[in-house]
Amino acid sequence: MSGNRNACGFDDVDPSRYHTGEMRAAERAAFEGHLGVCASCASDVAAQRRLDMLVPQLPLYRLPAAAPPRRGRRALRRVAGAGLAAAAGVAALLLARDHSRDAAGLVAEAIASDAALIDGLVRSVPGTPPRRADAAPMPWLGFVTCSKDIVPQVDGVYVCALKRESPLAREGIRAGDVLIALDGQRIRSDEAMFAFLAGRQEGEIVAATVRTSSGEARRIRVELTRRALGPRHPFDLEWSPALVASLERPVPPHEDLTRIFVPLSDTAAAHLGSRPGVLVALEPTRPAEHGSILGLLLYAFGPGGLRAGDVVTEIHGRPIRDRGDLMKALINEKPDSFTISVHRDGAPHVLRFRRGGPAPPPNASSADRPR
Amino acid sequence: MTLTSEAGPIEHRGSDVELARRMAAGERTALAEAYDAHRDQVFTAAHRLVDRSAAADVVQDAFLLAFERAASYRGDAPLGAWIRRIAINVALGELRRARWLDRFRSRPAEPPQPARPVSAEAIDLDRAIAALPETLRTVFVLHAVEGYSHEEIAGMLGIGEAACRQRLHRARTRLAARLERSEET
Repeated sequence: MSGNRNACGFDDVDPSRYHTGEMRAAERAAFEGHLGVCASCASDVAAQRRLDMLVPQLPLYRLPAAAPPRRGRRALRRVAGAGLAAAAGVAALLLARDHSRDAAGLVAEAIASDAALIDGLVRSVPGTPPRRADAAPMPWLGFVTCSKDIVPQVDGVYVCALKRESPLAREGIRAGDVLIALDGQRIRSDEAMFAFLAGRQEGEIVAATVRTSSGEARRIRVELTRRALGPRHPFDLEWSPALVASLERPVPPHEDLTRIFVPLSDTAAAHLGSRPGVLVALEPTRPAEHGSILGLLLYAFGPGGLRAGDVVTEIHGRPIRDRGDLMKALINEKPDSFTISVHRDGAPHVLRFRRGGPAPPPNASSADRPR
Repeated sequence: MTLTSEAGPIEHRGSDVELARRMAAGERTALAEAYDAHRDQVFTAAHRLVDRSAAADVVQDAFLLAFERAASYRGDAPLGAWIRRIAINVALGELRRARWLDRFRSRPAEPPQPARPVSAEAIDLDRAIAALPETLRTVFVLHAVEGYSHEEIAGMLGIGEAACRQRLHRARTRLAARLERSEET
């Protein structure tokens, strides 16, 4: 066989056959005789023998409990045979087995840390949590705030995510800049900003002082608007560096988001007859108490809402492939009502929601146009 | 077929056959038992062929397929090895599909956690295997680690037996040389 690197004249012998025991007796005897006189071949054989001894000692690896979802597209593979009746449950079962602790206990614990998780995401300007019907809408500067554990220490209000095309953005303000004064009043906290805005109305012009990333304090005049994030434009918000960094951090295993929503491989989704999406593996044991992003998702459970076994494929028209998509869809779209497309019991369904829970059955009018 | 990591006397096959029968009957607890018992081995086998995040997908796909095909399990190999074989086929399919750009992942892969203590030499060898070019690595893993014959591997990869032997020889030569070097340092 060609390719034998031995330069000692034993070219007609394939040494790999010696190591795999495939040599016939006569050949083997001749080769072993040669090993007695050829240091190079003997050394090769010794090295190969060491390799053979180590192979059975190769590590056994533990399947990661929350394996990161695959990015990128795979062709949907047709799986032979009829679909399993309980396929969604099977997939959920497999994935739930990866969690070593009791699922209900995990969810209860994680819901207790809901507030911490939500604060790790974007916290909206007041007006998003459920409000009394007669309350006037809060005027808005065009950006959303973060909580303290993801935002750097600032003596003002960190612009966590800024709506593109907003008055602030048009003045050259960027996500990551810091608001430090409004109408001459020094603003040192989110609460101070909200208190200021509560006394104003949409359409009023205010003087804002913003410290940019270069350290410059810019004074600009902006018109207060109504809060509105465009649902057709997922990148309607410019994200600040702190927000990007926080969303790239791996979610700690105890956070309930990773337990409740589990991304499916394309093949598993195809096996269920679904488009790619995120499986609802567990139902939370109690709803969230405020209108946060995860709260919005958790409000989506309950009668008429999400159920374990559903595969979330779209939120308000935006395709969902992994938890990042879930978060981005809800950061970017917080209309008063929205839809979630799921794959359930072998067929697609569209669930409609109002902030606060599932919506009543749809009527003919298009009630889910966001503001 | 020589099995490097699967152990167990013939008596275990009885319980394997019973487990497969329950899976074929649609018992989800049976699938859960099979999953608990074999998921690390299946992951390890897949991980030697594809990268870590793809390996996790492969595990999921393999168990779903095993559940679906449980009626065809005959007990002539341990159930874990049977599921591992399914996973290897899924992984090879993944390799065929993977595009060149997929190899440059934006997130560097951290090595997974060993399930039990292992020698530094074995870790070295594992890394050396992972560093082999894909064509050589696949043949080495299938032959030396998973125990398939050249004829079987040739069929799985769609190559000739001669090419298979040549790749194995090159893989073994590289690995042996690397082990020699690390011994000298």
